[in-house]
Amino acid sequence: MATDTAIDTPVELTLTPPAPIPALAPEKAAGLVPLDDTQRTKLDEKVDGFIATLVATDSNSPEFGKQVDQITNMGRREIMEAAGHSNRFLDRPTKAMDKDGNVGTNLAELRRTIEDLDPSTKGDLFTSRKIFGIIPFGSKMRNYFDGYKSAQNHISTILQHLAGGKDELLKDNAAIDVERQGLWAAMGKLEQMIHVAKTLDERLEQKALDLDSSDPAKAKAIRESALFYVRQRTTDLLTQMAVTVQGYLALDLVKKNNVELVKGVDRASTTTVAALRTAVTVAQALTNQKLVLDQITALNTTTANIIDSTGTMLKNQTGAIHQQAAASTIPIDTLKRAFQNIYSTMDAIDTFKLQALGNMKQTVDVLTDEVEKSRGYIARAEGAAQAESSAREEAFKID
Amino acid sequence: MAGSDDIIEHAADFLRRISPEGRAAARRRRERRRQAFLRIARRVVLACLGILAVAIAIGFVVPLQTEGVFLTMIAMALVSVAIILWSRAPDFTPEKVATTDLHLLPSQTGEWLEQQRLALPSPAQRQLDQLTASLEAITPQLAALDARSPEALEARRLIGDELPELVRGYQKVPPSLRRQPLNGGPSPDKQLVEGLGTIGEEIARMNARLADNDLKALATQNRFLEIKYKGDGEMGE
Repeated sequence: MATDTAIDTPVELTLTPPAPIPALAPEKAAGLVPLDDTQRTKLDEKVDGFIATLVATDSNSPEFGKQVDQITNMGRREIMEAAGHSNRFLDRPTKAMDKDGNVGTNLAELRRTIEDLDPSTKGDLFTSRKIFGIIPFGSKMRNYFDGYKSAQNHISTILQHLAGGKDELLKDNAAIDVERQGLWAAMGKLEQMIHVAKTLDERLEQKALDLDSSDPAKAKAIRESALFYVRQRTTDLLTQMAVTVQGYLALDLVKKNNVELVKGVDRASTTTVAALRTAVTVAQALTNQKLVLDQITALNTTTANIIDSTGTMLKNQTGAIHQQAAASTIPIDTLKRAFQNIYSTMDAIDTFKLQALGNMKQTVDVLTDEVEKSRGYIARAEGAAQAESSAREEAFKID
Repeated sequence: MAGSDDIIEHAADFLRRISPEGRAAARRRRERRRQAFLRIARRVVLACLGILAVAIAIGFVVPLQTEGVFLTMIAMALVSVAIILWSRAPDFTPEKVATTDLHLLPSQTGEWLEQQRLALPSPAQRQLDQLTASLEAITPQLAALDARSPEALEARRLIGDELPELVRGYQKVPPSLRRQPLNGGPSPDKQLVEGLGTIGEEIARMNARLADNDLKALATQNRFLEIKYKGDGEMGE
């Protein structure tokens, strides 16, 4: 029955935390961003041109040294750019965990407030209140529903905070989208450089083999300087690529976590509002008391406008609640179930957060490790670049 | 007799002057001159008024004779000359660069470059206009920067240190040797042009990097609005 599905057996809220991101081996990092054929041919042409000039220059001339310098500098800018991104995305998961805490505090407060209103903790509401246990004084039920009026202000504030927290999560995801776009571009550039490095490696090796018989000195120079630096550079590029890919995936993890959390927050708000509306109906049925929860009604409209899913859900539920409350022989049970719904939502969020936090921490740890590793490489590359530029100045002075 | 080199140089110079950058540079030069003139004129007028007031005050106590009037006029002339000499644009020295506010640095370097203009070869002069324009473009970004951040230090080094060093290094080379290639490599003239080009590129890159945060913030806000109100992406589910 449609009425049953609304309150009795609500759609089970399952929030699945995304799996942690495992470490990625640098050898597997390449090839994740596809290069198209025109790009490939262009890069290959560049490599061929470079090799042709390298082979044509005298291996003892300063020009040869300059060409080799170009290899050591290859992809330096790309690596620096990608590393700049990685410095930023490292703190993003940590920040996300903090934001969860913000939402968490509001959820905890909501839970406390809701627990105060829970009919199942109030004993038998049908007995009448007695002063000193003897003199009858008003109805316990009426008193209970009065509690809503004083609580509604507080609840609406919490729900508004939750909506604010949700906005923050959405903003976080927007920032992640932008960041990922930048990372994707950086990865594309790295991929191109890796392609260049690998092609250079292959063709230089081949060229050295060809030259072994005709010009052994040049073959030796190519192997010992050019090829050596090409291989070193390839490792640097691959390491940076691995870190960047890892960061890219970690950002996705944060984003998915946020999406789940937003679902949870939406659901918590919806179930709370639903319970309060049920209370209004039940109060009407049981005590003929018109419970006026203006704040909640107002919130209801705004919430429904903002969250589409909540809007539909509430619309469906309203009819159901009315029918149930009116038809049910024990409407107070309907109310108890409505509260149960809030609890199960919050429990689901709590379980989710616990798991998500674990996964996130694992991901952050792996990422931190990788970033540290790549920082080592960058420091080395920087050192090499500086040493080389000073060497260049020296050479200039001697000239 | 005008050689072909001279004719080409004149033509290049003419082209540079009528190019948008050249016109902008000329406008800036005029503006700067006007401001400097106004500054000095204001000081001179104030000082002369001060001396006149003192002279009148003294004149109330002891009547000023012809000598007094004469002395007053001499004092005014001397003070005016002193002020004019004093108010010359401050020299651009490395020590000063280290203490200048970051947002004043591009304009100071720009002014200094303008003063060096005539001593540079004509291709470099063309580049100077572009450099001045990009220095002007980066000024507001530098103003918003924390002076101790690594970007600020980098900018200071590039604009206040490396750029002047390049130009000074060129100026030290005797003019007769400037066009001769060095050991088969590029000539000092060409080296200067290349160096200025590299610096110009780096300033443009720095500008882009500094704008990066603002660009990202705008893109994020736009994406947030999309996600929130259009239900774009996974969030709508």
